[in-house]
Amino acid sequence: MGNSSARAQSAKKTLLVARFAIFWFSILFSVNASSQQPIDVDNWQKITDDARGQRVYFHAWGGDTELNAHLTWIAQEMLSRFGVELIHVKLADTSSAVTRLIAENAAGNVERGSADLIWLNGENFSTLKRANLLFGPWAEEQPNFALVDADRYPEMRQDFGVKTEGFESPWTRSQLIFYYDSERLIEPPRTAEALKNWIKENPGEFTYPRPPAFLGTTLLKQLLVELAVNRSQSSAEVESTFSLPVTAAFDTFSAPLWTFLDEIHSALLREGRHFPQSGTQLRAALYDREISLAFAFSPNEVVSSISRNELAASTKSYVFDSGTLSNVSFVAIPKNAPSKQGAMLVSNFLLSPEVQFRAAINAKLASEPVLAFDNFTPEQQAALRVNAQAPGAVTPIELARKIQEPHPSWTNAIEREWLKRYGGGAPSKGDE
Amino acid sequence: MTWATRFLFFVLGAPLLLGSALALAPAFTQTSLVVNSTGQMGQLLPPAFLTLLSTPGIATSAITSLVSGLLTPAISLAIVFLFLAATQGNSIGNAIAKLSAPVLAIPHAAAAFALALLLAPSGVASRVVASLLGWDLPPDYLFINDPNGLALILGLVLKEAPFLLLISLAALPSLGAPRRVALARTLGYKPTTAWLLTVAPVLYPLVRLPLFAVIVFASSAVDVALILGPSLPPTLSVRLLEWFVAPEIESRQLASAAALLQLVVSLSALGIWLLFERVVARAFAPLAARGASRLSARRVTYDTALTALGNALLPLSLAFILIGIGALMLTSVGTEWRYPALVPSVWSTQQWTSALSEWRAPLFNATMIALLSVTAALALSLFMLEAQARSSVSTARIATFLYLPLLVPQVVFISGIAVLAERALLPPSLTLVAAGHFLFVLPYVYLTLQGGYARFDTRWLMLARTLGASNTVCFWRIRLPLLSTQLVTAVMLGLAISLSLYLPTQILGAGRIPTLTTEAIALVSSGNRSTIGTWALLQSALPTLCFMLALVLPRLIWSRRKGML
Repeated sequence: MGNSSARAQSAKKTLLVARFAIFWFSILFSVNASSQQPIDVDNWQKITDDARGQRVYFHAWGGDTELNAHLTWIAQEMLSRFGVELIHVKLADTSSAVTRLIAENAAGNVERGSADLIWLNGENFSTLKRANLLFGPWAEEQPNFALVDADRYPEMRQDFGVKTEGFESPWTRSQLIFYYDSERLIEPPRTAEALKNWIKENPGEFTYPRPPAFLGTTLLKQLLVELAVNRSQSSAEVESTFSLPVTAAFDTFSAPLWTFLDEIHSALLREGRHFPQSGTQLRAALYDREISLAFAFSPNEVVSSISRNELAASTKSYVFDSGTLSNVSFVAIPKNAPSKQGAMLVSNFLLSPEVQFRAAINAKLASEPVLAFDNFTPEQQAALRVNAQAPGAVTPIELARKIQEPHPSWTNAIEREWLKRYGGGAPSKGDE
Repeated sequence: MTWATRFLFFVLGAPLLLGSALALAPAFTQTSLVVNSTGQMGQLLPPAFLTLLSTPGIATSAITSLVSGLLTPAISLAIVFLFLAATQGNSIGNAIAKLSAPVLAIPHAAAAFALALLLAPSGVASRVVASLLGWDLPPDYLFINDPNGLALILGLVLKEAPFLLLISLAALPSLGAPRRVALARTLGYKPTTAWLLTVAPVLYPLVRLPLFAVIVFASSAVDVALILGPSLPPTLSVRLLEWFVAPEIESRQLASAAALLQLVVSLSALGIWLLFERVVARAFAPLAARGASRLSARRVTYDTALTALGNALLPLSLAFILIGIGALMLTSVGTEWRYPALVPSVWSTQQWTSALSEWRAPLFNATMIALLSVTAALALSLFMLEAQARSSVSTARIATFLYLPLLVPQVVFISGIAVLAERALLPPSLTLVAAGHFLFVLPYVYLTLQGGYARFDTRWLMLARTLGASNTVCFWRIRLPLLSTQLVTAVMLGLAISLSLYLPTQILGAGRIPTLTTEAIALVSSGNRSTIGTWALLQSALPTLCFMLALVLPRLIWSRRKGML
């Protein structure tokens, strides 16, 4: 390339390359310049107007195909009705959204967060609220919030004993249920004590997801509360202990749980050397006759699984005699969410009778609606009643036996203690 | 170091060093929330390390990772060398070697699902036995997820053996194997022994670096360990990831300390391997020098046994994966398939229709990321190779740097890069993920093209230049067309690698950039067999297509030319 024309050409090329690079960099570094203005949560009309054209990233557990399909439908409706683009970010574990949020704020990202809406409850909520990373209060200003009738159902404002104070909005309701194959098991155990005896008499027919897998921890909490109540003289004392942050009383109150778990450990499936990773793996084990008793944290789990051929039609579900753990899960908006108005609009839509009904009937979600029953239309109420009669369903009477979740700090304490006792492998080895 | 070496070192080394440093840094911060019982170690070690060392079963986790990092390459290499020794380029061997290409294309996670589906207590193998023995209930044994990590090692071997086989086959032609074997035969050795004594020692140095990559990968793999590895306790890499995503702030520090331990474990595996190399070399030398003067019957049976093993093991491992893929297909269309049924009793395409309605965005993202990263890798590789060819500098030493991203555990430096991007206020985007993929794609693209450049007959260029062609014309009109086989192979290989990457996509994309691979692994937690089967197949389809194209396209391009393949 000796002559001048070639040099000019190469200069032109360089210019072109530079322009191209600038173009890409501008895309790479493009910052949504909209500065954050305070949002008036009372003015719902303005929120609706501002939300138009926003893109809402909804961080929600993505392990349930029915729920994913339901959210796909909601996304279509949000776009056509409100001009809001809803994107479901499928998480394997909600805590990853919490981590990300903490990391973003630690790095000084205070207005361009990656999540606009998060599905959470319990320790994830209490962590974020304590760290002051949530936007709010906004939840009680939503037009549809009145439909949950929070004055009659205080659990709509209490998340594992932590007051929500308008920083999160209820979405679904869940409860621990047990289920079994009625071809293999005639009379399932209905108390913690009976469960222990049944496991020991039928080795290899029971297991639980490995804590901190959510469902495994839930069973531990159920046993913790029930065994402590059995042991103690005053149930009021037990109740108040569990509703408050965990204290030095942990050892006393959890001792019966560890005795229980030690006793059943070697009688579990695979002799307790391996645990399923999730509730769905537990369900698959029951379906394939590896175990004969399982449990889920969604009242309609069995009904919807039977309809998908994931459980045999002979599967039945029930609730323990003294009740089972129950909670509400919520959606919250991070403080650094770029599309808060859109997120609020999505949340309000999730609370509408139309969507809550659709979740239960069309989408066959395993959880329950959070709306007060009388806020559904009479036709919807009739359909919901029919649904409660489906094969495998738990009766509403049984579901009325609810136990409140202990304070989130108990969850952490139990998970830590479990991992210390069983997480390191063969018990004989001990700590290394 | 030439400027090109330095440049490459910078492109690959800088993100690696920065990423690793940022991933490890939190472990050393003193602002730990963890209350520790300060012993004498307290002054020497940051609190996060004390917490890590007092975590129950952490030693077991580290040992499992170390053992998997050593046994996987050892077994894979043994399988491949025995196979090559037993077949020595015969037609059956060639046919089987061709089968290994699609197996290589199947992503690790999909292969792991397939294996679990075959060998779990309620899996296909157990159902076959059940139908013969009349079992009603699945047996209660623990092989998948066994505490010793045997299933994990098996899963890794099934994927790494085809990889080492293809690397070996690429290196073999330059070694004059038939001549060496013939020489050893004249000294009285049987064919398989002859190959192992004369070809293996010269082939080994050429597969050594890829083998190191296998060691690091096997000691730090996340996706395979999640599916096949032990759970009480899990491997170090899985625990690291669990801590990295846990909500508590102190877990982040724990994760950093674990990342350092992971680095130590992977490097120890490499160190032990280097020692092992010396021991084997010592043992080998006298064996070869002694000769085969006494043709005892024992020696013959020895050779026959080795030949049998060589003929059996690799085909068996390929068959494992292929049967597993068959089982995945069955699950994806079988909605009712309860133990002990051998085949599903109700068939439906419902999983496919619902998966296909959701796969557009993941497919688009995966393709865009793959195209971006491969284009960048191709451009950079060609630029550097061409520059070096013109200045006639040897390119051999650069290869070492190219393996850098494969020699540092992914979990360690990718999480650091995510922190770096976060600090730089770079939002998680497709471009960012593609940049991460670029680091893993570049080595393969570069090495494939380097082979082409090294074998290139430069007399063609001289001829062109005597006819007045400039360097640029030579490059576009002579060099590239003659290199089309290597170009196609490099592109397809790069695409296939990018399409199956999980960790960089998940961490750099903040879960916002779904690809077929991230969607498939997100569904692991759903546990629904037929959904997993469907997505595992979807995830495998594109890389397999790429590998097929890499095999077929050159044949089409050169269909009217002789001797170009």
